[in-house]
Amino acid sequence: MSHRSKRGKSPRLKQLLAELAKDFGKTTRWRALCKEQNATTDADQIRLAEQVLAEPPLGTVAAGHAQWARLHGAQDRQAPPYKPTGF
Amino acid sequence: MVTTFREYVARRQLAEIARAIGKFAQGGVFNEMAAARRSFKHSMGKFEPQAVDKPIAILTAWRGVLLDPATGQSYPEAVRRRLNDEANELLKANIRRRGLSFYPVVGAGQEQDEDGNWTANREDSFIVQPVGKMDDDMFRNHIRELLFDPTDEQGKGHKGPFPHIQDAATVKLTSQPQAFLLTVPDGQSAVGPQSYTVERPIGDSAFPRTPLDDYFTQMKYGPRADPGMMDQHDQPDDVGNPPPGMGKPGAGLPGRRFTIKDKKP
Repeated sequence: MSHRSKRGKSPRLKQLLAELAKDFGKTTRWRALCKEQNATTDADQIRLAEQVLAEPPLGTVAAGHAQWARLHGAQDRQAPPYKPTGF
Repeated sequence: MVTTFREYVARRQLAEIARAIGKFAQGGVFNEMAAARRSFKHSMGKFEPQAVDKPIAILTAWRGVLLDPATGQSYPEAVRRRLNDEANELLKANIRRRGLSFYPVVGAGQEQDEDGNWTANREDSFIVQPVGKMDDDMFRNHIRELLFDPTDEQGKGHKGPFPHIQDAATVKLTSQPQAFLLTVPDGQSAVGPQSYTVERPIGDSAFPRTPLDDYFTQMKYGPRADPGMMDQHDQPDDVGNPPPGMGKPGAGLPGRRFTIKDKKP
């Protein structure tokens, strides 16, 4: 799923990937989803690219980092329940 | 000789600031944070050990994309930075009000697209710690509240430069060696501080940044980055650099950088 594996991509997928690249973090998010869902066909990758494009912007470096960590196999933990601080 | 004199002046100014703030500080924490704001080793050292004695977080009120509600288009870069700076000023007040201390750094990331082109993102951020004693759960809950309402405006009528909720912050607690990104479950948007239920590990230590590290924290003050911490994506007018053309030392150059990642065996 690296940038080197673009051989054979359909024009539609190339177009969507160019759109993803305009919004920081979305290309990494798309790669993470493709990896997790084993999306190897153009049709699956197009579906996921359209899904990520329809989502709100990731917005921050931390949000992009969260996608990067996910792509690199980070195992999430559940945080303890929230209690208001009173501030 | 010139460098030595500058170092002397910088040390003296720092000592004066630390003394002034220290009069009001509890347990010398403001002294510690005042020193850390210029010290790369001190700042990286907050994330370096497996066990830390105080919880710590990195967060911001900046947004990468800000749309002008009148046009639906992205603001020009100068306007985006100004609005983000205004949001960060409100975040600073929100942090202080909670009895937390902070100092500015720059959060940075970069991403390569499928054509091999890179996009770099920089944002003014804060390293945040409790002033006095605070347990991990209370600290985490403060960070959740700061993420959900960074500019302290919800339920009070809009007063910030733009309405927003932040997605994630970097956190390291005293009770676990792994630093993590505190964020929301995939595909969900935060509806309150309780939404930040995911802890995604990013590393149990910290190291000087190399060009292979895509995500890193950059010092705002102090000496400029070593060449090995920089790469081809650095631009003189990047967020956090002293503005070029002002004749200031280090103008157009980034501060030193560290990255949080696992300690290799």
